[in-house]
Amino acid sequence: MPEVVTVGAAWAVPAALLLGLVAVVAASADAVMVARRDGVDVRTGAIAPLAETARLLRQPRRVTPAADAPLWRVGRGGLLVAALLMVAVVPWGSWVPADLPVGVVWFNAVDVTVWAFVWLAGWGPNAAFSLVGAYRFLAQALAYELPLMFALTAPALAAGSLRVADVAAAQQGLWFAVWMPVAFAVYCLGVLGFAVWGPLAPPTGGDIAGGVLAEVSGPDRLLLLAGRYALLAAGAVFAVPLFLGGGAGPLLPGWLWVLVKALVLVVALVAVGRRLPALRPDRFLELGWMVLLPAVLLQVLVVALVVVL
Amino acid sequence: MDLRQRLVHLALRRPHALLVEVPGWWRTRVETERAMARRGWRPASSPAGADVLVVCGSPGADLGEVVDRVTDQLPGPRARVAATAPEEVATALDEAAARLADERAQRDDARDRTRADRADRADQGGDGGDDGGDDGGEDGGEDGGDDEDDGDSEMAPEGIPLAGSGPDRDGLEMDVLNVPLGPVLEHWPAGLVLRCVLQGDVVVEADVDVLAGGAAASPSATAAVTCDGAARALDLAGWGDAAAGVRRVRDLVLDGHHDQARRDLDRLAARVARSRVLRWSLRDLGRLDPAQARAHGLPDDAVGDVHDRLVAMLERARDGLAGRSDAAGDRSAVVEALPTLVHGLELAAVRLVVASHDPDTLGASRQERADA
Amino acid sequence: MTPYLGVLSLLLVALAVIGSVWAVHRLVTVTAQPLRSPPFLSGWPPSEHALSRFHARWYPATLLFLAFDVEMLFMYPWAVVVARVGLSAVVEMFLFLGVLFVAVVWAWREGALRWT
Repeated sequence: MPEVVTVGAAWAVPAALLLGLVAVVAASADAVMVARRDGVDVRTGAIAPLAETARLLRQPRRVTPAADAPLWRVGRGGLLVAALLMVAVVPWGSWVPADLPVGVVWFNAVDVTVWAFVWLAGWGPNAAFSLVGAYRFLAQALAYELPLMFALTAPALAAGSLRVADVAAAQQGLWFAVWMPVAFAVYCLGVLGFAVWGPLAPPTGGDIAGGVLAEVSGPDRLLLLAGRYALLAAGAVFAVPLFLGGGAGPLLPGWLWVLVKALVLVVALVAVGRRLPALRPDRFLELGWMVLLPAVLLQVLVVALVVVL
Repeated sequence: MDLRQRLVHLALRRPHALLVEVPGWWRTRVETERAMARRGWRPASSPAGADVLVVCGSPGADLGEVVDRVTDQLPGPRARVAATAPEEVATALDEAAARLADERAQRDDARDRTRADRADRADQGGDGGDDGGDDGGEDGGEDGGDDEDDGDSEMAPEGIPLAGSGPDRDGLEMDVLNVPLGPVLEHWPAGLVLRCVLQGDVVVEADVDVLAGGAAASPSATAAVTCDGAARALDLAGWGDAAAGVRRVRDLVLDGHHDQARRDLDRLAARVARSRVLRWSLRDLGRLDPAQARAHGLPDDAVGDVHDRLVAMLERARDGLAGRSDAAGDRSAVVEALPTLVHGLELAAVRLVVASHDPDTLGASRQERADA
Repeated sequence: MTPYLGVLSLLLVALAVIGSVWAVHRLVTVTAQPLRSPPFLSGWPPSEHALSRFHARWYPATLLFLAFDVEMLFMYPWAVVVARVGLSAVVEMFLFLGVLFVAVVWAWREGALRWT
């Protein structure tokens, strides 16, 4: 069993800060790409997360008649909570906030709660466009979730363990991303899915006035937008021990390698997400079940054969 | 307070604006988009996400009423400004920024609105409770007194009736929602109103209307108008990057850089036509055969599916830039045909179909006026 | 129990972040009183409440998902023991998955995965 130290409860703060850093870089990268595209000074892009935070903190909240207030609130705050719970099991080099023996399953369980949070955020305001967005998310989740789950089992299978530190340690020499590329690609698509980002952003689409985001303003909107970037970041951070060799690397300490790899991946996810048209939910359902699912099942079969032969 | 001033200053780096285009003020709306992009302002999709409402053109009475309602939905700090010519846009945006920065005026505005709302509800005899305000405690509890007052009529909480139901296509009894699309909606033709009846997100019934403005000039630069329409369809297909590229071509055309525009458009049109994901996602949506198109009085280029029409739009823009004939068919007849064209489609498809037909609402409203 | 202490502390951090967003908002906003506004409907007042029985046309896919998702739970314990049990574990699992996938193909042919 590889040495990881379960650190004290106070270390949840640095773990959360590191996740926050990755999320802010993702938001900045997105705004910088927009600024470059529009030919504006990229510095205005770089400070976008800060400016947006200031703007939304100053803005009052907004409530709609006969809103389902408690459920709406749970949905809005939930994304951020889910993102932080996901990274609880990620080892930053040799220290980990929560060294669960079933860390991979934990991540899976938390990513399913996002279904509820996004749906509740859309259901809460008692508004037609939000409601349509909420149901769009469920339709989309039906398509990405199963392939994502199978993609998560591939590294666990190769490592023979569900403990995240074991999975990271099993990649001495060769990253899982290299020899199980299908699982890695499907995992990344799943991350875009639960972060409602890029090609899987239709639940917040402009065609339904922002969908799940249509009625929220002020701090509520800030929490939802930040939660989205935090989920994208959490997906990138979790990919490091799962597919990208964990904290292994020359010179730098382990935790810094995890951070560097996560930053590179999150910027790549932002860039690729921008370059693709939306995968419209009604078509994506068929794609998920008839293309992604068999592809990732074959990937798991290949991994299983490598393990036993 | 210094901290607060810095916060306001930061917030003003990135205001979000919701645009309303009155039919006939295409050029003003385009200039507003360009000026916003130059300043690093962002477009908003709904009033909840907007700080600024920019009215491009002078709306008629009906449209004006709608715009007033949307203004009331901006959470604040808010500013509503108007521009009736491209030259006025810069001043209008400057004014909006100045008003957003005026902390005292914004606080007064917010206080007045709270008071008006409270008076309103007192007039209605406390009806409606406070369930929207979700948390009397956290909000300071100043108006949380009527929380438990469940005086709502069973059938119309807060004065809004519950959804009725109707038979769906499988013969089941399903709830129906009335959801009007337009006139204030992102990526939507100016002044168009499509009143949809939805079951789930499927349109089971629709009727159409155009809310016009005062006298206005028609847009002249055809290739630029076509590019704008194509960019809108690309945005609705969720491909913001390609849409921004086509919009840049639009701007090059307007600025008279035709060579550069031609080169960029060639490249973009090829990229759009090549994209497999786009074709997969738009294929067979809103397909029309020539007979159906003729029956609706639509031009020949309306034949095919959304993807065909999008590619054709880009092709038309290229023809126009190359000096070939780019005579687009009359796109005003499509307005009348929209209810039939969108019947049975889900909302995302409805938006794409409407955008792909690029309806000429100005022409339609003029025709209507001439008929009347 | 100790590993779950880490999870709990991250949960607390999350709640603290959400709480401080709210607190800072109340300090700097133009009004802490939320604006009461009708839902956005392109500028029209709502003619009924939106919360209603929503016709989710993809409901057959939910049943399919449920069936496959329950099966999915077996994958995790299986993944841990494959190396120990050997080839027979792989054969058994993929026969099972194959049978399930036949059902998916059948549902697909019946049109359960198309909803327009």
